[in-house]
Amino acid sequence: MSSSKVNLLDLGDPKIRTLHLTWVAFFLTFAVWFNHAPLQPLIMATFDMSMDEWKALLTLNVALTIPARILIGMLVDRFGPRHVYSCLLVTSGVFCTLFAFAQSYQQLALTRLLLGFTGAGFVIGIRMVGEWFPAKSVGLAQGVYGGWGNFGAAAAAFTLPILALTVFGGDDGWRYAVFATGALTFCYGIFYYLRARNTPRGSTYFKPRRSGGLEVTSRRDYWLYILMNVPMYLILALLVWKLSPAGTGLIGATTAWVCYGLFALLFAFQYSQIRKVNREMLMQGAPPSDRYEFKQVAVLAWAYFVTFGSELAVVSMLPGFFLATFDGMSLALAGALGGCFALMNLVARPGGGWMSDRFGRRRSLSLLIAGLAIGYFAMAQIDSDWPLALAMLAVVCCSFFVQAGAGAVFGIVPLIKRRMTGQIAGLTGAFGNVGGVAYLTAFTFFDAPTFFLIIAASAIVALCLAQLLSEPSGHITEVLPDGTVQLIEVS
Amino acid sequence: MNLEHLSSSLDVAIGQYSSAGVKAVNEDAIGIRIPDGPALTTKGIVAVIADGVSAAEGGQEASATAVSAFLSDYYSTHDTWSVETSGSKVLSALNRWLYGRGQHCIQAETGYITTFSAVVLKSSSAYVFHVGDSRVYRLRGGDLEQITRDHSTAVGNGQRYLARALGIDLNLEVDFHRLELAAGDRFLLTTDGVHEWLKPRELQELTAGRGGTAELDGLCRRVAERALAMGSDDNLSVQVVDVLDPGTAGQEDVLASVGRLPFPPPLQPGNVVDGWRVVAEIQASSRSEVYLVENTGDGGRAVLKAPSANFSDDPGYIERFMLEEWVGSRIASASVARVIKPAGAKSFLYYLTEYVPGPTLGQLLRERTRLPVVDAQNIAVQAISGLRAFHRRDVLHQDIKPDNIIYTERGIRIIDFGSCQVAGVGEIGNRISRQQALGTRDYCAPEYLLNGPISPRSDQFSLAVLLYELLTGRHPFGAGYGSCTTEEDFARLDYKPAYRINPLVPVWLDGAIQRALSLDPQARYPALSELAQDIQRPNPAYESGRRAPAGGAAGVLLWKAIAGALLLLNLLLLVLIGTM
Repeated sequence: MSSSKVNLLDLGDPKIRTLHLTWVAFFLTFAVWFNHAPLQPLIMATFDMSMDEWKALLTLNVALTIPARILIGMLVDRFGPRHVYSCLLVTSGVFCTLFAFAQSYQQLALTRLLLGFTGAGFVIGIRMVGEWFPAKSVGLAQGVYGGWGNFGAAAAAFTLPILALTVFGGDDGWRYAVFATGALTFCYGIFYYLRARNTPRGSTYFKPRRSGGLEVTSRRDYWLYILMNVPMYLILALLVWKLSPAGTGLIGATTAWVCYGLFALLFAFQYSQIRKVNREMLMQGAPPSDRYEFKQVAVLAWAYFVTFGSELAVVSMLPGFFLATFDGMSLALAGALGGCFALMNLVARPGGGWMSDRFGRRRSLSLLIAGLAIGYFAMAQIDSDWPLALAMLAVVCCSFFVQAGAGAVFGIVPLIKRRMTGQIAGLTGAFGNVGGVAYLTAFTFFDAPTFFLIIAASAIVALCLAQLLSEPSGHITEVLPDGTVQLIEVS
Repeated sequence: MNLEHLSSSLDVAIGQYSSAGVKAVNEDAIGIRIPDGPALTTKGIVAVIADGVSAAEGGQEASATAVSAFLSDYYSTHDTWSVETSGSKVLSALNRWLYGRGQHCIQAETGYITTFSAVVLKSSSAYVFHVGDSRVYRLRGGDLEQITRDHSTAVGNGQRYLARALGIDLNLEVDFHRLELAAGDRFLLTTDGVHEWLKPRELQELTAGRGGTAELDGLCRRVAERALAMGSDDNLSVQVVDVLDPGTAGQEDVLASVGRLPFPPPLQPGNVVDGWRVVAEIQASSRSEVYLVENTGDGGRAVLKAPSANFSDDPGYIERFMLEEWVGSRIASASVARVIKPAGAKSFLYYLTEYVPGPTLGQLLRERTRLPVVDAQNIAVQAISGLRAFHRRDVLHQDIKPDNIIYTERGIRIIDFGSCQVAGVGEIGNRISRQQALGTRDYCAPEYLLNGPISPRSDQFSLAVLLYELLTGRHPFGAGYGSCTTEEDFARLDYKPAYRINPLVPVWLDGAIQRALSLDPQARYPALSELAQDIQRPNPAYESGRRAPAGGAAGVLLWKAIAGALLLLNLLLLVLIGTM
C-alpha cells in the first residue's frame, strides 16, 4: 500500500508540529527514565552501594511502570493527552530532582520507584499521534514518535557521563547532570502544555470508547486473557520477595506484605475491569463478524516481551557491564557503548515495520527473533579478552534485531482487529514492560553472561510461539495504468 | 441509497374481521398495512381501527376516511421523522379535514366523527395512537392488558358520551404510548360493539389460539360472533396482530450488508474511482478523508468523502457514515450542500456531494478576524434557513461551526452531516453500539455535556456562537467554555456583550444573540424563525436602556467613589457643626 508522505520539515503543518512536540516529550521521558544507568559507578561510590543494591535499583525503576500504564491510560481517556503528558513531564522533573539530591539509599530507591511512572509516557503520545494523523500516514508517524523517542535513553547515555565528569565535575557532578535532565523535563512539560493541542482545531470531539480492558470474543480467549495477566503479578511479587528480608532485605517484612496485598487488590481491580468490558460478550457471545483470535495478540505480546523488554533491561545494565568487563575503560566511553544499544532505534524500528510489510509478517518476525537470540548468545560470550570493537559490533548487531523485532510487532498490531488497535497496542506495550521487569529481576539473581543467556533462551521460546501467528488477510487494491482503482480479493 | 443495513426482519401474523352486526350499516372501518422494503424499516407495520359515531351524519365516511387516509399518509411522511411526529402530523391534518367537513352539516355538533386507534410496529417497539373508545389490548404470556383508556363519560341510563374523538374539535389531543416488543406479543384492537359485551376474561380465553392469517381471521370472527351472541347491538370489529419475531437487526446483519462495500484505499491524485478522477486531497483526518474529484465523462466536479481505514471493522462508525449520505440526500435547501447520486454502482464505500468552491467561514475568520455586521447577519439568516430544513425533517445537525459552512458570493452552504441525529432512525434498534458525537466542544450547547434533553434549541445555541464569532472573532464565553463539564462550571461563565468587542454591533442584535445563547434551553427562542427576525430587525425589547450600565466595573467604582466622597463630606459637616 502506498503510504502518503510525511514531510517532517513542514513546520507550518500543525500535524507535524504536534508530532515533533510529542516525540521530544517522549524522548525526555526516556532520557529521565534511564539517566541513572550511565552514571552507575558515580552513584554507587556516593552511597557506598553493593552490586545487589544497584541491581535492585534498576528493577525498581521499571516496576511501577506496569500498573502506571493502566492508570495513565484511564487518565488519558478522562483528561486528554495534552494535560496528562504535561503533568507527567512536570512530576517526572520533580521526582528526578529528588533523585538527584537524595541523601540515602532509601530515598534513592523511593524516587526511582516513583520514576517508574515516567516510563508510561509512551501510551500518551501514541494516542496524541493517532488523533492528529489520518490512517494512511499514522503508521509512519508513530514509527517516528516511538523510534526517535526511544533514542532518549541513548542520548542520556552519551551525554550524562560527560556532563557529570567534565562540565560539572566533582563528587556531586552526577547530581547536577541528573538534575539537568529533570529541570529540562519540568520546563518542557510547561512548554508542552502551552503549545500542544489534543485534537486538530475544530475537529469533532468523540466520547472515548469503554476502556480498562481488552475486548475478547470467546470464552476461551477470555480465560486466556486473564491468564496472560498473571505473569505480570508473579514477577512483581518475585521482585518484592527479592527485596524483602528473605532476599536482600531492602524493605521490611511489613512493607512486603503491604505490597503483596496491593498486588492482589490491583489484580482484582483489573479483573473487574476486564469483566465489565466483556460482560456482554460473556452473556450473549460475540457476533461472528466481530470475532478475532486472542492467540494473535498473545503471540505479539510475548514477542514484544523479548524484544522491547530485553531492550529496557539491557539499556539500564549495559554501561555498568562494560565498565566491569573491560579494565580501565572511561565512564564516558562505557556510557557511549551502552548507548549504542539504543542508538539503532532511529533506523531499526521503522526498518522492522518495513520488513514486515514486505516479506511476510510471520517470516519477518521469526527471522528477527532468531537473530536476537543469536545476538544475546554472542553477548553472553563477551569477556575481557574480546577486542572492544568486536564487542561493540556484537552489541550493535544484537540491538538491530531487538529493535527491528519491536518494529515488526507493531507493524502487525493494527492488522489484528482494526477497531481495537489502541487496546491491543496497550496490552502488547504493557508486556514489553513486564519483560523489562522480568529480565531485570533475573539480573538481580544472576551475573551478566547468565542474564544474556536467559534472554536468548526466552527468545527461543518466543520464536516457537511466533509460529502460531496466522498471517492477517484482507483486500488488496491495484491501480490500473489509467488510474482506475480496482479491488483484488486476497484469501 | 437506502438504509438496507438497518433492514428489519420484523415478522408478524395478522387477522381481522368486521361486521355490521344487527345494524343496517357498518360504520366501523379497519385496515392493516405491511409494506415491503425500506418502508418496513423506516415506517413499520400499521394496524388501524376506527368506529364512526352513529349519531353523526358522516360516521361511516369519517371512519373509512380516517383508516384509509392514515394508512396512506403515514407512509408518505418523511423517512427521517419519528413515529410520533409522523403519526401526530397525519392525525392532526385528518382531524382538521373531518372537522371542516362537519362544519357543513346541519347539526354541527354531530358531523364527521370517529374514534381512532392505531398500532405501529417499528423495529422492536410498538407505538399506539389513540383517541375515543375503541381499544388496544396487548396479550403477553396469557395476560390481557388494556393499553388504551376510553375517552368516554357515563351519562346515566347506560348511555356513554364520547369525550374525545376525531372531528369533534379543532384541538385534538391524541394519547401516545410506546411499548417494547417481545416475540409472542399479540395486539388486539376492538370497537365498543365487541369489548362492551365481553368480559375481559372471556376475551382473553377467546383470543388464546395461534396460527396463520386464515386461523387468525377465524379467531377474529369467533370473537365478534360471541359478542353478538351476548347481545351486542352495535357494529363489531376485531383485529389481531401477532409479533412472531421483533426482528432487531443484529450487528451481524449490519456488517453482512454494509461489509459488502470495502473501504477505498488511500487515494492519490490521478486515481479513478467509479468514473471519478481524484484531483486533490481537501482534507484528511483520523476519522475521514475528503477529496476533490472530477467526472471522467463530463468533467463535472464533486467532493468525495471516504471513511478512514481506522474504522474498517467498526459497525457503529460505518452505520453513521452511511447515515450521513442518507440524511444529506433527504435535506433540500439552498443553504445545504447537495448529495450527488452516482450514475453507476459503487465499488467502495464513499459518498459524493456537490463541490462548492469557496472558503469555509473558519478560513475566512482566520484571515479577517471578524466580518462586517451586515455580512454576518446575512450569513446567520441563511444558516438558519438551512438549519430549519434539517429541523423540518426531525433531524438535528449538531455540529454547526465555522469550518462546516462554506461561504460563496451567492450564499452559504452547510456541509458535513456526520453528527446529525435523526429521530426516525434513532428508533430503529439494533445491537450496534452507536458512538455519540458531541459536536465540537466550543460550539455545542451546555445540555450535551450535562446530559440534558437535546432539541432544535441546541442547534440554535451553536448558531448563536457562530454569529457571535463572525461579529467579534471571539467566543462569547471566552476560551474557558471548552473545558466546562459541570453545571457549576457553566454557571461561572461570563457573557461579554458583542458590542464591547466590536462597537459596530447594534445593541438589539447582541440582545438576540444573548437570548439564543441562554445556558437554559427554555430561555432561548422557541423557534429559529423568531431568531432570524430579531437578527434582521431591531426588537424593541432589546433596544432601550441597555447601554446604561456601560462602563461596567469602572462605572460601579465611580459611583462608589462618589458615595464615599459624600460620606466624608457629611462627616466633615458633622465635625464642623460640632465645633461651632
